[in-house]
Amino acid sequence: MAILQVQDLAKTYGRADTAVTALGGVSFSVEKGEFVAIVGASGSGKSTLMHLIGGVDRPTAGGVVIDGKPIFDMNESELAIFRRRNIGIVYQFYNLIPTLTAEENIMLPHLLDNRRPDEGKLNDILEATGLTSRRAHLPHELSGGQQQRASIGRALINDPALILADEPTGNLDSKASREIVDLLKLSNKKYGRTLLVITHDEGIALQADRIITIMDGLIVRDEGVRQ
Amino acid sequence: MKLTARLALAQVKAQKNRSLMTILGIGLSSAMLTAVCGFVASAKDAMDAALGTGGNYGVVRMAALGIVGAIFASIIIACAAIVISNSFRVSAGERMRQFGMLKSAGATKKQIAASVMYEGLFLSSLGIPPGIAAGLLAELAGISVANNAFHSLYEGGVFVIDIVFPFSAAAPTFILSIAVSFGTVMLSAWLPARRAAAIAAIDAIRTSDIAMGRRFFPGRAAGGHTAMGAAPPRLMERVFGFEGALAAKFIKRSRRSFRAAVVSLTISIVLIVAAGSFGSMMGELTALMRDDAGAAVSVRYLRSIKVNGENGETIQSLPALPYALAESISEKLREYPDTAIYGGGRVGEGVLPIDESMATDAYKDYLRRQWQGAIEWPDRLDVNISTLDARQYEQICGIAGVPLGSRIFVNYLRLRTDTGYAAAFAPLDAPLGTMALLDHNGEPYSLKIDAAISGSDVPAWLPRVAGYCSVIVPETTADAFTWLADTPDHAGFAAYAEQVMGRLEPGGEMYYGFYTVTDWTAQIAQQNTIFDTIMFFVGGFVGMLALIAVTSVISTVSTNIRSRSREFAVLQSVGMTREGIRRMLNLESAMSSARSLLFGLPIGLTSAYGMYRALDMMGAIAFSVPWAAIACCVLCVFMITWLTMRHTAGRLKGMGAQDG
Ligand SMILES: Nc1ncnc2c1ncn2[C@@H]1O[C@H](COP(=O)(O)OP(=O)(O)OP(=O)(O)O)[C@@H](O)[C@H]1O
Ligand SMILES: [Mg+2]
Repeated sequence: MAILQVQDLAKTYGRADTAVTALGGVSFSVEKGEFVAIVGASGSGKSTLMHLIGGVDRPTAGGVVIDGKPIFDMNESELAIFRRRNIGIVYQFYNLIPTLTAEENIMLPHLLDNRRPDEGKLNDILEATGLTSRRAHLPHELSGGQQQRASIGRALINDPALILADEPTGNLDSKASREIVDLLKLSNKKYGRTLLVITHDEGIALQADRIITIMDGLIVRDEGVRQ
Repeated sequence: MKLTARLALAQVKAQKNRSLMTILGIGLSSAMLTAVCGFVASAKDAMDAALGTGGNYGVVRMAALGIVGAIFASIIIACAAIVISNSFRVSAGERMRQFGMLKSAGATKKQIAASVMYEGLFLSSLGIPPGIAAGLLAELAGISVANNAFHSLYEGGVFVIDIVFPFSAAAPTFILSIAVSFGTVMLSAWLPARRAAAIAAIDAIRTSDIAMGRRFFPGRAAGGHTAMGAAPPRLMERVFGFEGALAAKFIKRSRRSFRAAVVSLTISIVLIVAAGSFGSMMGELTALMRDDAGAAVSVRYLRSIKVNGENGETIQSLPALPYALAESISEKLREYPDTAIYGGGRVGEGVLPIDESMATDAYKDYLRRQWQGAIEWPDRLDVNISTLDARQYEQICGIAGVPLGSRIFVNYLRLRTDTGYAAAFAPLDAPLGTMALLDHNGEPYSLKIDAAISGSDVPAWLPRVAGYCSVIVPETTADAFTWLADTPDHAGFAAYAEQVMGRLEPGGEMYYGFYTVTDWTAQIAQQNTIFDTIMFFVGGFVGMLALIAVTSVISTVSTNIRSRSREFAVLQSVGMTREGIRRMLNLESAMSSARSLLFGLPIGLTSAYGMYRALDMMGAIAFSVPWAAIACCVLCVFMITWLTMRHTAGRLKGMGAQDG
């Protein structure tokens, strides 16, 4: 069964003569455990698509079904709680809350639920993200790559059905980028997470199972990658 | 601790200076609310003790006191809410990206709102307890001031009961003040909390820096028009150069951020100006009283009527005071040590028909001013016929240079105008010879005048015992007689005078206004006590509200400057000098200060004038612009804004305050 179904999803900003159609009605579905890269020119609507899938924005038309649930049928707080438990989001910048330690930032979805994650799970993720020795540090004491790994750790902590990442390596050097990609791939291969990654980096896109290309708010190509 | 609470606490800690100012504002407002609650409770207890609690009066009294308390409390709450709410608004704006992050990690609206409310909770828990303690101290101080005043007024015979305000810190009052203070803070946090929670996750995520705060807590007047005080950038550029234009643009852009500071400053300015004007009016009224008295003690005899105690009918008029008796009273009163007595009596009144040719230029001038150009020429002048006790009569004859037995005209007038007393002047030209007068019934008679005195020849006491424009005649029976006493021991003399006059009273019968002894020193002291007590409370109230406004100014100005460090860096990188940035900031603080003054001063003056119209029912005092209060406002507003700006800018990196 498809973990994610996107149906005729459209988003228009503004009204009448100043209206910008960021997304012109796209449909696709993603199977559980798939690693999908989304590519396209700047301004083509990639981030818009991701925000809609993550439920942080509302579409002008169309729907998103995650794990069998049409997310836009939920009210705002239901959606917030659903997001907390089922979706992990990683942005390009500013993913961490500066006043919380790396460890706390990773545990954020749990803290919002007012529960502690089990220690084994947390240690696993700290291990995988290479942050065990840095767990008590504040974000400004971490490098850009470490910060980004922490935000991926946060996206993993809740065993979400879906991980969305918007240019997670956008402002990192090639070594740090490779570490991030490795971590994402690990979550995909080892933990079986479904992964949707927006990227400008062809090297990263080619490591995915499938590449969706967007142009002017529409899908122009959707094809598998031969590994 | 819950995550939302921890994040709130982190924010409170991260913005130490602003948090401190908010805590101060919360503390001040809860102190004021506590004091108001305490005063109301104490006044109720005092009244219950003095008047009893029977019947419906207790309820009525409580309602009346409650309304007065509620009026003061709402002024305080309004001011506090404006200031405190602004602080939460700014804080929520700064946390916008954090909220975006939390939202995309699955925080609900409720959790976001709760996090803002927690800030309120932390700041309250730091601000309210010391505030309540300060409020109890203020209540204690206020009560002891009021008790001293009421007690001395009771001792002076102004009040028939000795009202004592008990210190009241009873549990219900205490709980009420905590609840109201806490409610005020929570109310202030609630609006920003709700707004922060309502922002769509996507908008919070997209935020870049403070642009976010601006976008979601925007200035209402984002459009083109220019508010008062914010001069158009073009004009500012012409006058102050590029920095002026930048300053004007910034002021326009951040009008919303400054609004709370401007509004609270404006309220304070209005109150300070009004209070200053109120104080000077009260002072003038007191001075007027002192001026009218002109002596420590006055003793007056009035020809009176004998009244039937049963039906209130006049039985007979009592005789006028024979001159010999008046003279003997003068002598008796003079026996009191170190005391000078000036005695004089009113014999009768006359009307002097006048025409323009008899009037002096000073009198014409006076009338012209009075009638604003169009003189309505009066055809009569009231003249008093007066007598003086022997010693004073001799002195006046000496001044006039005429032998005893002469009739002397006191050519001296001092009139009340709309704007207070006009200076004294001589109304008539050469009023010698025979004066043709009309008596009460309009029958003509004449009086031969031997001499006239005017100007500095007229001793200060003379008009007070004989009236203005009087003809002094030698020893005559008088209807009314006044003795003014200059004495160091006013209280002792007053008691002595009572004794002297009391001997005159025929026993057992009821007399109307036979004599009065007035100790002006005591009266003025009582007046001063009332005045000082009122000013203590007015000053305390206005002063504390002004302090709340000051906390807002400090926190607004410093937050604004700190949030613009990047803007300053950009300006410096394109070649603006530090001096230039400082100049821009100076202009900004001057402009925003000017704005609150521009609103505050006219409103303050208008309310001061309204108060003057209400207070000055007898037309005794002139309206004077409270320059001292205005100068104080202008100076303080500019100083506080400028100092805060300077201090904050000095602490920014690369913006050292070394003077250039
Ligand atoms: N809030 C908004 N209001 C108006 N237009 C918007 C808004 N957000 C995005 N757009 C427009 O929608 C279009 C798609 O934007 P989007 O951010 O999805 O592009 P993108 O593919 O992520 O680009 P990039 O690779 O540069 O991040 C762009 O033309 C953008 O200008
Ligand atoms: Mg994008």
